[in-house]
Amino acid sequence: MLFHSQEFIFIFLPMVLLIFFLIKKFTKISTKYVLILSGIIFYSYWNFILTPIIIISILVNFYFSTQILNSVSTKSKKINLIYSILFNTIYLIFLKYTDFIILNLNSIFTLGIPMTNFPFPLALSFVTFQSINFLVNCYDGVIDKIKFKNYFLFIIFFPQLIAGPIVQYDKMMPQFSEDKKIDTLKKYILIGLVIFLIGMFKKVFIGDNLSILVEPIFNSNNSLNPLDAWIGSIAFTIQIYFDFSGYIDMATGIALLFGINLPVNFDSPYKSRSIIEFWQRWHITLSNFLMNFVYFPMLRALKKITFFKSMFLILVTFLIAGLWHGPSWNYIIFGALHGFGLILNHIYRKYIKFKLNKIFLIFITFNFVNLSFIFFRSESIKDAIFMINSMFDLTKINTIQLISLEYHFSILILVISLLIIFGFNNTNYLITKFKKND
Amino acid sequence: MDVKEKKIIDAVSKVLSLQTNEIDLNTNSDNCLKWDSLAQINIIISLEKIFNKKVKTSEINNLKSIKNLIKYF
Repeated sequence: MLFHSQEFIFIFLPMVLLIFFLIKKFTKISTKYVLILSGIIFYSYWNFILTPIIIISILVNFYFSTQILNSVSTKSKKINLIYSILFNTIYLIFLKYTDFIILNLNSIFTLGIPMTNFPFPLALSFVTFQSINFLVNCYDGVIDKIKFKNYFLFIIFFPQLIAGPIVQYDKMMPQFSEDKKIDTLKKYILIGLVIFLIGMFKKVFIGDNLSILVEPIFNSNNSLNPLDAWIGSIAFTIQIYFDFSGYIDMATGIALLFGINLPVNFDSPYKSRSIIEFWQRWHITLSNFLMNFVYFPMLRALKKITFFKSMFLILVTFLIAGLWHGPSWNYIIFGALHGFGLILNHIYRKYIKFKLNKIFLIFITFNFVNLSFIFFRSESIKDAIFMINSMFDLTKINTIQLISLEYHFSILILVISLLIIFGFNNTNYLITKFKKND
Repeated sequence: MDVKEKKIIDAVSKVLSLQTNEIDLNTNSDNCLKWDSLAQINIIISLEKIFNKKVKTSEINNLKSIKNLIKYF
């Protein structure tokens, strides 16, 4: 069920809200059960067969967390943590990357290993990172006791289950407290609805209209006019932002309806003046996870830290980040590009004192991100390179343009969306303002 | 300035490639451009080694200022 689908907006969400508030008002039953059950229904609706994948992850991770918490010695605590992280990693690789591994083995060694054709394990990438975060918190003593229903809800809470943001147990669980009064919850309904509608506008009105420009250009097999190639690539860069941040806004709005604040995940990323800043503003909860749970332990394990080694680990971290997005070389290249971009950025920051103009910095950062997203969108590396070549091949300027006047509405949306991105405040600003006035 | 403060400011300035006089008690990741998330991790690890004290992963994001670092270590 997608947040902007009719069955979600007109059936699922109103029913869950109604039951949630009725139970809250008239019974002593914990509303956590309503949210757990709705999470299971929400997930099963995509693909019933996949539900056990998430349930197994929840059961195994709950078992590991109790093992970590009940360990008497530091050594057994550590061993349990290592086992649990290994389980999560292997579980994700097995369910999401087996066919990718087989495909590559087959092509390298000309083997004929048959594909498994497992269905795509929706949400598991997010669940894996969230679970690792949770287990490390148990190990560190940030979490000292857990109840099964709380852990279950932490993972299955439907607003952030499918596409994040990646949330933390100690920040989330106190918010689900049964002691919250109905009057307190009611206050969030209006702002929740507004944020949800903004998200829906971003996803449906802007994102989907831009995809009308993106699809014909990225799917074209013939030579592309450079102007088309530029329009297509920029339209995708804008589309992915409105799709993803729109989806996150919808999630944030829905969570607010139940009185839950989700962490900020986007903060006007295209206004960034560097790649470093871009990752502080784009998919913030992911970059936080990568720095704290991937880069930090790797760097800590080194005996002697040098600038070169730390840069190398940045590259490794971003290769992992790329692959995390999906089983494809395109995502690995996307990660590698950002890894190298960050390295260049850090070298510049460390050794060059020369200051550049702010608008120029935003311009080159945006263009770098734009180029990297071509790999994100293209079907293959070959297609991505074709697209980039088309953008700079001025000899093709006289070839027929795909994007003609009949696309004028989508072009208008593209221009408006650029104005929104660079000229307006974002949704976080609205939420912060609301909280200040409250 | 006590020994601990000096040690912390020295370590942070080294990670950020700044002079020690460019950093004071009010320096934090918001008012110092070079103090980005990578620098944050490097600061934590270098202080872990100096003070022989491990930082919990969940604390990393709370230690983004000289004041908080002094309080923690």
